[in-house]
Amino acid sequence: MARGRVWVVLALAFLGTGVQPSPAGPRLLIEPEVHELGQVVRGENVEVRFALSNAGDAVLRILKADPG
Amino acid sequence: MASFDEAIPPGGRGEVVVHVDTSQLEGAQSRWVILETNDPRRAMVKLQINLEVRGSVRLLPERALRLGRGRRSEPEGRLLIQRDPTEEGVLRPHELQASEPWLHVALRPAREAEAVGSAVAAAGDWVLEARIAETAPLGASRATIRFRTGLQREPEIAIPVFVYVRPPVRVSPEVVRLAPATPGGPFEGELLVVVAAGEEAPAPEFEAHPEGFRVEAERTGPRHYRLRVRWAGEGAPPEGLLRIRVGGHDLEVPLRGDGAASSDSRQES
Repeated sequence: MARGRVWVVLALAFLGTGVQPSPAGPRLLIEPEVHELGQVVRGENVEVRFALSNAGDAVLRILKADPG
Repeated sequence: MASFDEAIPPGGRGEVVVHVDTSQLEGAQSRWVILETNDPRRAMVKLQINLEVRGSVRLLPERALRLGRGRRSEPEGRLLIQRDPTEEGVLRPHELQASEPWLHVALRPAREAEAVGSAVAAAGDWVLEARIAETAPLGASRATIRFRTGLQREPEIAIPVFVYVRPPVRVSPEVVRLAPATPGGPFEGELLVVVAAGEEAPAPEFEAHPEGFRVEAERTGPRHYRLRVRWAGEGAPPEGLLRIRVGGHDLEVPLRGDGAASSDSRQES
């Protein structure tokens, strides 16, 4: 019982500092998520590149990309 | 169309590359790609592209023609051709061509305040008229109309034409499978014959080959008939053919005994 109380106190103390543990696993960052191309002449085949990065600690996998 | 890096290591970078074909787009457009990832916080992410497509001309009410014969389609259609306000020069459509001999097309200057769909013509606009001939193929088909604009940004325009011509007579199913209704009973089956609205719907004439098939017709509606087919020969029926003629239209429907596999069918008019 006393041991359980110690854990609760420790957890509350940790939360009280405002410090969050960095989340484990992959972490996707995209910059930007919306591209504004402005005016385009009809007939052009426009190529747009979205830059991705992985700020996590595990491999980030892109499983699918469905155009709409 | 989108391509992407499938795996990005910790601290690494990758990209999603999207291609947008603008050849049939008009005005303000948004395109997007939905990414699915193994990041539990961003399992699905929407990437968006906004653009405004400008050409030499605007085609109204839409950048395509839909023609046909049937309940929801007309054999004739028109498009209003306007010079895009951001383009310079004089619109002079010429060298008009249709990809199919059964598609007849013409160009003329628009009349003052002429209505084309929900659009209204202004000075300098043109009208494209298109019509499908009687020889247009049954079912769905696609054609293209091309013309030159006389303008710089888009010297040539290609307009897709979607055509659907409803068959004058349809049968269902397209292959009749005969089976005994009761154990030991005769092999029998049936099909429905439907005549399209606007077509004559006299009682169908029919003949089945080889000998041994018996056919009875029953009118079930103003344009609907049910044909019952029975095998009067010994044992299981051989593969056969039912020829049907309705109002000058001929159809052929394969007859199959129970268990015989086939998917062929043919329709003529």
